[in-house]
Amino acid sequence: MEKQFIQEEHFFLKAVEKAAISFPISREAAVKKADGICVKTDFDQCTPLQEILAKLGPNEIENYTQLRQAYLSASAAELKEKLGY
Amino acid sequence: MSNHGGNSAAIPDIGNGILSYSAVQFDPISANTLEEVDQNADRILQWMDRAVVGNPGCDIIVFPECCFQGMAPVNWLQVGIAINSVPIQKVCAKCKELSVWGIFNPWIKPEDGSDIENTAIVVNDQGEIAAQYIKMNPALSMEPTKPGRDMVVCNGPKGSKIAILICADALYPECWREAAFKGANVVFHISHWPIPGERMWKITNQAGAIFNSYYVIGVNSVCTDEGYSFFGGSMAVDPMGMITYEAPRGMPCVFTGAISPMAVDAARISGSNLLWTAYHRGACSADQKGVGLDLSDYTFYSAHSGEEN
Repeated sequence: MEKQFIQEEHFFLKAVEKAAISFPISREAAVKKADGICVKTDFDQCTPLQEILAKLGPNEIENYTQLRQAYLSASAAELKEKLGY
Repeated sequence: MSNHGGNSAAIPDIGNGILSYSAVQFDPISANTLEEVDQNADRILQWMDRAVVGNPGCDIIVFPECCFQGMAPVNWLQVGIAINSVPIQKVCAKCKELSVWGIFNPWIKPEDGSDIENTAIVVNDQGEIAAQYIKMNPALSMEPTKPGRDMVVCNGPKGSKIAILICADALYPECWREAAFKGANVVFHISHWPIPGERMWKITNQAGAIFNSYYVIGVNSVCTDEGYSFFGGSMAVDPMGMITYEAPRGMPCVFTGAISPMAVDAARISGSNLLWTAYHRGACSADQKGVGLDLSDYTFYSAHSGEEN
């Protein structure tokens, strides 16, 4: 069976920490802070943190829990689209 | 905050952020007279002196429910006291003398002649009453006091945001949750909890901590009055529901501990926040876009709010 990369969320949160994002914060401000930081999203692939944050649903992110929920929501939406759900 | 609310405007010195507490598993006399109430007050003072010897530098000393009067099942109407009465003045002065905060539970007789109020008072280290909380859920089978209307949360020492639950309050999840929603990071559950309720005591303290991610310090009486026996078993519970200390049953004692109330606040902002997810249900699903659903799908609250007495 092909091995799948499933550590994106870990690397996302590490990148958020590196960007010194604290809460509450607007999505726009978070994107600004994320300048130049990349997230490992596959075995051989990185994605700019700004790109990931820009896709989050809420305009205002109240706390760390909401950030994670928003991240998972956006990831699930991407997967649905990819699978033609 | 209501008319019985806490000191939300005054934020005490946070210091090192570690709250050192002493919990007194007290054995009140079941008072039939005001003289016996005064005797209980004097015994409270003795235990406060002991507490600072065994736990030098402690920030707060906590006594169980009914510490001034016992349950007073015989003459309860005769032993209610005023908020500015001598027994209360004594414990306030002692807090100031020792530079400690204190939590005490007198049965207060209102000046307007209305029913007795089972009242917890938080006294600061200047000897001032920083907050009052009236028990919202009097024990229906045995306690004819007036129910309170407001869950009070007040700023305490070392970054603590203190809520107090009094005995039967703990049997109603709404009290625990209301305290959390008002920002409490530590709940002092003060009780006159009788046998055979040992398991209820333990489970409710742990469940309160787990469901709301805060510390719970349960302080229970230990004595036998004209009708009931109170077993002790006071305990400290961390925000994961682990009992970090459990006092003996059946003996008066004082135990100590240290907690980090601000770690609770930090976890709510920068860690896992069960309260937030309670009213943002399913936020991580694709369709909910990181926001989720609120509490309006629960019919209990809407069905029972605004009902007339």
